[in-house]
Amino acid sequence: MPPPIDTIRFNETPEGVELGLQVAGPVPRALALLLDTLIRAALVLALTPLLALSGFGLGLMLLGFFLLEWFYPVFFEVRTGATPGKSAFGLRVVHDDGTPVGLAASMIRNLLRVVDFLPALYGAGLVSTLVDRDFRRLGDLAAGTLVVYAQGQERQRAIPEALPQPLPPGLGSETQRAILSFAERGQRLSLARRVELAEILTAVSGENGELAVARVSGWANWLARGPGVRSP
Amino acid sequence: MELERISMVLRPRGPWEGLDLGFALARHWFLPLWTRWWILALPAAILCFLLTGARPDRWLLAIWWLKPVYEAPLLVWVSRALFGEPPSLRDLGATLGAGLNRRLLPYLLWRRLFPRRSFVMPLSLLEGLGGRAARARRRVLNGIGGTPAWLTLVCYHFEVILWGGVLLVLFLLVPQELPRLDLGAAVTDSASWAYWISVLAYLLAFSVVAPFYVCAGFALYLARRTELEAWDLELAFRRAREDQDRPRSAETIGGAARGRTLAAWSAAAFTTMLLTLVPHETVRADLLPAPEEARALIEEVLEARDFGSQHEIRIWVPVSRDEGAPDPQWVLPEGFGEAAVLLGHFFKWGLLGFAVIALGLLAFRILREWRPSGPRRPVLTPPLPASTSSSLRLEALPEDLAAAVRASLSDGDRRRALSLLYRASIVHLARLGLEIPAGTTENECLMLARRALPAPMLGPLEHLTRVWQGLAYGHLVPSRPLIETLLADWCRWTAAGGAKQGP
Repeated sequence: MPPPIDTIRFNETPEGVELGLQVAGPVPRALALLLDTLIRAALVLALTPLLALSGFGLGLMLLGFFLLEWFYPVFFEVRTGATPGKSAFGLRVVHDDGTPVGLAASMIRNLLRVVDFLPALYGAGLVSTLVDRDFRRLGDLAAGTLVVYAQGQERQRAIPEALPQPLPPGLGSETQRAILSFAERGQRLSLARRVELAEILTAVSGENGELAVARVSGWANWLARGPGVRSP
Repeated sequence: MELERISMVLRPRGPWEGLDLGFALARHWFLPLWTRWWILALPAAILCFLLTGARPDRWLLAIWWLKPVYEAPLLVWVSRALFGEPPSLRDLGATLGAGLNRRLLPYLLWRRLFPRRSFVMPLSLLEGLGGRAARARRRVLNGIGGTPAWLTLVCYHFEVILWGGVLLVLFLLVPQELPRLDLGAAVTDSASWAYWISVLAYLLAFSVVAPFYVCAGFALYLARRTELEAWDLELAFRRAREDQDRPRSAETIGGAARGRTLAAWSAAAFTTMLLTLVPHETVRADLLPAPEEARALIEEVLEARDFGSQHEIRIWVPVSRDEGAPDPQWVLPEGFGEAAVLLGHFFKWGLLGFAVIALGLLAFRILREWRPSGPRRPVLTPPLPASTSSSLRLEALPEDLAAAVRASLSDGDRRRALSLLYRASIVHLARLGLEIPAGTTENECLMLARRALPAPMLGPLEHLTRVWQGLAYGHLVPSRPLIETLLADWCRWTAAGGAKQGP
């Protein structure tokens, strides 16, 4: 059986830890690019009053255009990891081993924008992102970079309190994580679905209905808070 | 639906990630999807060509308007393939039948320009919902935000970009001797041949983007359902259940056997590889050693340290005896035989006696168990008094705690002083009616106290706990005045608490 399809690229660190990078696809990247183009257009407009200074102003304006055209993405990528458009969509540019993008790689990927732009409006880049496994455009392929979703701080969701109950033996760490996740996300599921899910696990002990949900919540509390404290 | 057979990773995804998954699915199955798109689009295109009187602009519009017709079977195909049963070309009829039914009609009429088209299509086609049920379901699923509409908009622009790209490539790369593509005519003049090329390029762009569009909408729908119905949890729970049901020993034995077979196989393969590594033609025969020589050479090479490994094994071997030497004659002392027989008898009767006694005891026990003289009293352990839970009885506290603490302080043993004070306050908590289970940490204890008692009743507990934790875990020895302040607070607290609660 082939490995299941996903948009995560795994990198193994020397310590044997698998780091998953969630690569971003063509649609969010195209929208981020559009946003960046709009911002750049606004900056270009802001530079036009320099024309009032006649020849010197024109020179300054052209210099500004040049810098905007070639160094706007480099500046932001090296400083914060993403241009403002990418940040708005929660994207980051990283090396393909997951480290923050450096000056060299950022320069290469942004200089090759010209190639990606061919023949019109990023046609080559679009085809490349559609074909490549990690949605890389040609500039990314050359520079060895990826555009990934920034994994923000994992927001801690509260687990509703219940009487902690010891877990039955033989449940692996994956299942334990699923039990915790069940307690966290349970509130957003319908009651019938919650019961249905909990009954899968409690079928051995024969609990049904709300009792099953309470039992699994008890396990989650045991995992999250330990056996010691009981709610009064 | 059998989630076990789904060929994508189930995990909660945001809407944008859902889209990306769709693009990954479409890339994975691009060829089957693309051919299926053409299988339906080609006849439709020919039919439209006849109906529109060979006018390219109307022709393109008709093909464009009929896009849901070619997309529906793709959706059905992907939904089957995702669960491990990709329909082959022979099942084309069934796929078409499932895709092209009356539920598709709204998508060709009023819902054709609906921006969420690819996202709601699975609802109608795969769930088979209609009318009020479909509307209610759409309301539930629609909580995903504007992503499905963005998808439609962006995919439309992808088509335009691809079309423009193909036209420009044709314009730029066709040699000058050949008739030049007139870009202006290709876009505006519907009577020119360039316009036909433009229309065909557009058709090509449709066909390329369609699988991505369909899969992305479908993946968004899957992401939303995974979020609403926690499919990933169901899968994880089912796997856990299977693991529990399966007898563990059989699995490990099977695994070991598999491992051994694999090792044998790879060893054989490796040897074969070694032997075939040298290309036959390039090596001249006269340079090769004779087979016997070669074998010896191979043996020699294989005996080198780099191959294989050395183990030191210690076993017991019999000391080699000289064959010719006569067995030593054992001479038994006089009367040994009779003594041994007597001893044997003695043991036999002794054992029999033990057996009889054991049987008697057993019978006695059984009789006592079965005697119908009322229920036996269950063995009860005396319940612990509430104020002295097991963790608190470890060491008796001195009667006059304040004096003991001061004594420790004057000895210079600040650790002991603070420890006494902390334990005394826990005992005081227990006296106030707080039940503290075994194995409770300091923090948990403080939390329990905060929950059970009003703030003024806590006294110096919080400060004391922090100082104690600092000492116990951080080796931050508090100053003597601080301990004295705490002691004073504690005295006030116990006096007040005792007065309020009563002894």
